[in-house]
Amino acid sequence: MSHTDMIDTQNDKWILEGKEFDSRMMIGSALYPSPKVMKEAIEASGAQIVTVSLRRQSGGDKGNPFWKIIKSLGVQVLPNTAGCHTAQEAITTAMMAREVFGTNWIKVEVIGNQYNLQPDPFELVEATKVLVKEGFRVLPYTTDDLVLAQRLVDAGCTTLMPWGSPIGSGRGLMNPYNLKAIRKQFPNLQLIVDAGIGKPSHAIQAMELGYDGILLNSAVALAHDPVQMARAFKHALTAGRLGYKAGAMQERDMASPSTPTIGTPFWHQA
Amino acid sequence: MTIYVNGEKKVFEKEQMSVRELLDALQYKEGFAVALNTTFVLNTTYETTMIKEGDVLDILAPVQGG
Repeated sequence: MSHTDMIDTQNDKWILEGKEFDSRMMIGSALYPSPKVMKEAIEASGAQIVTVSLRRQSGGDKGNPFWKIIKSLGVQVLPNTAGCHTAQEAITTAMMAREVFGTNWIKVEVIGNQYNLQPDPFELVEATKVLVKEGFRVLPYTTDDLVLAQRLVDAGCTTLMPWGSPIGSGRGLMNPYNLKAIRKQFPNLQLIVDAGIGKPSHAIQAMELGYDGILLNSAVALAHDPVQMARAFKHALTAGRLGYKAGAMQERDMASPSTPTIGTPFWHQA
Repeated sequence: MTIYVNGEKKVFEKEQMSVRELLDALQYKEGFAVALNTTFVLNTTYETTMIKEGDVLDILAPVQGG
């Protein structure tokens, strides 16, 4: 990265839930071919926020190699409530996560449909209300529904994570119009596109819409070369963010020549 | 008593035991959290939270997540 690029990102710290970050990427820790590749990919991405989860563990397990690696990275962990289908399940999981991971950050995920893993809006709002009162910083995985976004804000969220498309689909931003509407309606919220990002161009598009960050996992973990892809996403986020801040030109219906017309040589002269 | 730990049936001679006694018996040491009948059990209450016949425990630890 050049000196100029470093200045650009240094002047653009991301303040999220009261903490400061240099990177606007959240990266998942699942699906990598090996723990070694996971570690290298996370490092290459520049992400300072890593999502983790909780599952049943047998007694007598000698340590937890995965957790040791994550701790060694010195990142902010964002536990999720993946696999929960009711508000109560999400609340219990969040409380367990707070104790294990030592953070009050929680990505609240309450699945309402197994086909597309779409969040259940009603259970999500219910869980969010309780968890905010319990002192959690709730980062909800939500659809791109504007009214649901308002309900989550009313419940106490200052960050929303609408989906780009279904989890693991890699289809990119299915509905940029809705994502843009949320950005416009909530200019002061921290908005993160979560789920569905498949390629660096999707991340650029999200950032160009004015989103504050992205959360991705499969796009990097399932790439042929996860470490290289992590690096590609790092650059994509910077490009998209700088593009957004620079302000894109207005689209036009008609062509407009970029080369000066004055002094055009002989072939157009009367 | 018969209880269920992480979906597995476990039989103990005692009729009642604390969460701490159970964790020691199953050799859980650190890096986990406990739910009893789907309700979170704070680690400072392991000694005083009692398990009885038919109870269901979930003991969770960090794993990869997206």
